[in-house]
Amino acid sequence: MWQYEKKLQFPINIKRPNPKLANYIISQYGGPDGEMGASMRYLSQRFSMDDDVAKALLTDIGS
Amino acid sequence: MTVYDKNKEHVMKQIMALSFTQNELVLFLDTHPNSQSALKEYHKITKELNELRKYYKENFGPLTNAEVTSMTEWTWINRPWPWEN
Repeated sequence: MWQYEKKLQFPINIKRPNPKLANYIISQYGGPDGEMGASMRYLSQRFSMDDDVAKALLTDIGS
Repeated sequence: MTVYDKNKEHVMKQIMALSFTQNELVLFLDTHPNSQSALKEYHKITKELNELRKYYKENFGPLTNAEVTSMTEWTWINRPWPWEN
């Protein structure tokens, strides 16, 4: 299960906002080829693993 | 190790850095579960990180909704949230 932490992964300081780049970055998260999709797949696939290393890796990378 | 830092952002940066390192060690240990050096480093980082997290929540506010310290107000909802200034 997951716990939300009230912090960013690393500091962010945007000096020149770039909406086109922001859009591109957001597009990397969503949709069938996006990171959210990949994360959900890993978290589903871990249940069909025999190997403990595979279960842990899919859990931790998915998370 | 004791922290006496009044600068919230400075402590947060240290937490971010150690937390990232810890996560990298977790992934490495997943595929190298018998690495004594990685495990040693993991414990060293985790000990330091936990001290910093304790200091942060006691002085600046909770990092998770499971560690709110105030007995009089629900400080979890306080701003700023990470995506705000």
